[in-house]
Amino acid sequence: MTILTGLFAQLPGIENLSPEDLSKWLKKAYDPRVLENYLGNRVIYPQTVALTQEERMIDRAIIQEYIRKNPAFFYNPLSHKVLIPLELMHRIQPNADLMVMLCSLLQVSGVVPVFIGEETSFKNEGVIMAINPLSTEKNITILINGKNTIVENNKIYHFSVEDQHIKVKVDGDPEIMVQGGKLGITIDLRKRGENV
Amino acid sequence: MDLSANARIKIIPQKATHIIKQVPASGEVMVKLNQEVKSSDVIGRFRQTIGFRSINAPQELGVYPKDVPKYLMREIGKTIYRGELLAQKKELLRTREIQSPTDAVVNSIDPTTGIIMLKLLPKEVPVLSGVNGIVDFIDAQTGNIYIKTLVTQINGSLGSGKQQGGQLKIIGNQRSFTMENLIPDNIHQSIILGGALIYNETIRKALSNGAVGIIAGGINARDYKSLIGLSSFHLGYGNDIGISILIEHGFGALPLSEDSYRLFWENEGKFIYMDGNNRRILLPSSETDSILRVRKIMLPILQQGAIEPMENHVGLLSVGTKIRSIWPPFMGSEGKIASIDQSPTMLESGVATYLVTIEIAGQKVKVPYSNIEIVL
Repeated sequence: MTILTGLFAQLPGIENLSPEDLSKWLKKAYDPRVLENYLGNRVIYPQTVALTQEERMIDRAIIQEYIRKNPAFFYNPLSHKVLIPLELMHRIQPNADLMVMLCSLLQVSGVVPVFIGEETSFKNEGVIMAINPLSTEKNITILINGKNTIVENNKIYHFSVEDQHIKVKVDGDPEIMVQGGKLGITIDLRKRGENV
Repeated sequence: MDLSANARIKIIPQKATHIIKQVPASGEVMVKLNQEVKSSDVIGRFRQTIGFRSINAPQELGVYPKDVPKYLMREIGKTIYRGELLAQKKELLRTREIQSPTDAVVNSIDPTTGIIMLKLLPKEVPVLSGVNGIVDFIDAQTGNIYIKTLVTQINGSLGSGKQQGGQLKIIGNQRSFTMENLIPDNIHQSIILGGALIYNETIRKALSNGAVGIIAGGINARDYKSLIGLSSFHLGYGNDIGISILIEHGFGALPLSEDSYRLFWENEGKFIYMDGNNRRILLPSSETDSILRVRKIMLPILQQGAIEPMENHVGLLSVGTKIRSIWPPFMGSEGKIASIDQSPTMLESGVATYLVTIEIAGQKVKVPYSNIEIVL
C-alpha cells in the first residue's frame, strides 16, 4: 500500500503563500497566524480533507492564490496545454468552478485543452476557449453541439458538456470542433487585457 | 469496506542506536573500541580556552560607568577565581560587592558602559558517556565516539538541529503556552520540555541561556520558517541553529500527547538526547542489563548529522485501532476507533467521505478516515 497523500504535497513551494494574499480571496478576516498554521498543517498532512464550509473556503483560497502565483505550473504557452493534477479536480468541485477558476487565473488565449492526470499519464478532459468575439453587441449567441444559448458578451461561461468532440460556434465566428471531456467547455468572452 | 490510513511509529521502546559524543581535536579520547561504559563514565576530555563573561558593574554597584575603575578590587590583567571579590563599593549602611562568577582574567572595562569583561581561564572539560553502552566506533579525525546503547525513541512531526544531549527540564504542562519569560536562567546544557506551543522568542531565549534542545507540541508556522531558514518544510531537515527543536504534532497550539508526556515526566532531570533533524527524542535506558542486550546487536555506522529517511507505513483501519487525529478540532489527540461507517457521508464542506467514530478523552466523535493516523 502506498501512503495517503494529497494535492498540497504536489504543489511545490505552496507553504510560501502569504496570509495577506490568501486573505484577498476570503470574506472572513483571519489572524495571519491562523492562515499560516492552517496552510502548514495542510502541507505536512496533505491527505486531510476539509470538514466545514469555512475550511473549504480556505482551501479554495490557497489553491486560487497558488494558481495565480504559479501559472507556469499549470499552463505551458509553448505546448498550449493546461495540465492539472487529478487531486485538484477532487478539491475544487463542481467541475464548472474549477474550469472557471483556471480560465480566470491562467490568462490563456485561443483554444486550450485541459488535461488531468498524475505524473506522466494525462488525459484531455476539458477545453478553455479564450476568444475575442467579432461582435461588439451586448448579447451574443453560442452554439454548443447545435444547442443555442444567448449570453452576455465580456464574461466567462461554462457548459457542462462531457462529449469527447464538441462543435462550437460563437456568434458570427466559424464553427469549430474541439476536444472535451468530463470537465466540459469554458468560454472566456472577456476582451484580452480588460478586466470585466 | 477496507479503509487505510497512514501509520506512524510514535514510541519505540528498547531500540538499539548510536549516541555520538564528540571530543574536540585538541582533546583526548579516553575509551577504547568495544569498551563498556556507564552513563557517568568520562570518555574524553578537552581544554576549553575561549570565552568571555560580561558583568554590568554600574548596575550592580549603583555607580556611573566612568567610576567603575575606582571600585575594582583586582587589577586589569590579573587572574581571579570564582567567588573572589571583583569590585566593591562601601556605602553608609551597606556594602555592595561583585564576586567573580568564574575562574578568569580581568580583561577590560568598557569606558562608555562600565561593563567589566572577564576572559575565562582555560579549564579541563570532561566528556561524559551519558548512556550505558559499548564503544562501537571511534572516528579519529572528528573525535566522534559512537556508543551503542538502548533507548526509548519518541518520534515527532517537525524538527530542526543536530543531535544534542542534555538534562531534561520540564517547564510547562501538556497544554501550556511556553512564553519567553518562562525560560529559566539555569538551563545550561539542558533540554527543555515546553507545552502546547513555543514561540520563536522562547527558543532564542533558551538558546541564549545555554539550552541545547527544546520540545513542544506545536509551533507557529512563521516561527518554524524563521528557524529552519528555508522556504520548504520538506527541505527543512539538515540544518542547525545551535539548538535542536522537536515538535510533536504540527503548527499551532497542540497539546503534547499523554503517553509522550508521561515518558518525559519519568525522565525529568535525566540526561537525554534529541535529534531535531531526524525528528526524534532518545531516552537512554537505565536498565542494568541493557549492555548485555546491545552486545548482541550490530548497527551500521552512520555519519553524524545524517538524515535517515522517514519510515512510511500504511495500515488498515479496524475497530480498536489506536489512532491520532491530525486535523482540527481534535488535532494531536489520541484515541481508538469505535466503529467505521459502511457508506460515505457528505460533509458540510461538500466532501463525500467515509467517517470513523473515534473515542477521544471519554467522548465519541466522528471524523473523516483521512484525518487520522494510525499510531503503531
